[in-house]
Amino acid sequence: MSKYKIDTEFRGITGAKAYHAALTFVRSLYYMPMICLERDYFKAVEWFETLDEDQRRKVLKVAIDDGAMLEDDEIHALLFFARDQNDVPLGKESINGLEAFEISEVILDVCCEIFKKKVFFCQMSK
Amino acid sequence: MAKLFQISEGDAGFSYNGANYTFSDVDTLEYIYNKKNRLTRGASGQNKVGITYKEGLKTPDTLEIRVVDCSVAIYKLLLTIFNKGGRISAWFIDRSTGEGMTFKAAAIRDKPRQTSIGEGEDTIGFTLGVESFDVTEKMNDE
Repeated sequence: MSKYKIDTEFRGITGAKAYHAALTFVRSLYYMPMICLERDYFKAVEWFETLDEDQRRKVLKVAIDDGAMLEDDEIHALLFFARDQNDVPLGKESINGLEAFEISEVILDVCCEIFKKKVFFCQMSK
Repeated sequence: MAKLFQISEGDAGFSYNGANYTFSDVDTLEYIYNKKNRLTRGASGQNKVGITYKEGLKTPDTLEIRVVDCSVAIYKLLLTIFNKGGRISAWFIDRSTGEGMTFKAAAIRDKPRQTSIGEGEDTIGFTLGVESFDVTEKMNDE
């Protein structure tokens, strides 16, 4: 876990952007047969839903480290929901001071928090 | 080859409570060093060397950073620090050499604010003015 406090509400355009960015990582798992064995999209959705929090974190870490590469604005949208010790959202003034692995860790935390609410737009169970 | 600081080749920002913030765009930095060596002599005017004495030791050094682009979150943080009289470290660092100056344990002198809102480049941004007794400068010889 990173030292940053993660928001639990993901509102507005930035929230939607962050959600889609997080979803990009899950989609990238679909293209990693060593992680996700399902070749049917809806079965892959079900597979991810069955994972508990720890398992999700584990596979998401693989997706973030080795899967999809996000655009700058998508990374900014995700990091916006992490707050530093001064309760300031990570933004343009602070992001460049972070190390690459630190950014990955924060992204992982934000994604895990987002997926506590909902994973897929097509998800029926929530 | 040693050279003087240039705004286009450096970063300016501040640290507070263990977090570093780098302003994404600054216009100018104005550094005023208040400690001076002065000369005096008796009114007879016979002493051609004079007597040196120091002045301004109880006056802090000041740094004014004209910030052009800043997120609202950072602007609000600076306001909060100003309101509660907190201390920051304000700094300017040359990206290529690592040289620069740091104002440690600095107080924010003026309330960070836009002094005018209107058309024109001067109305964008605000000035962050800090005062400190603990200023360190790092400049390499070569």
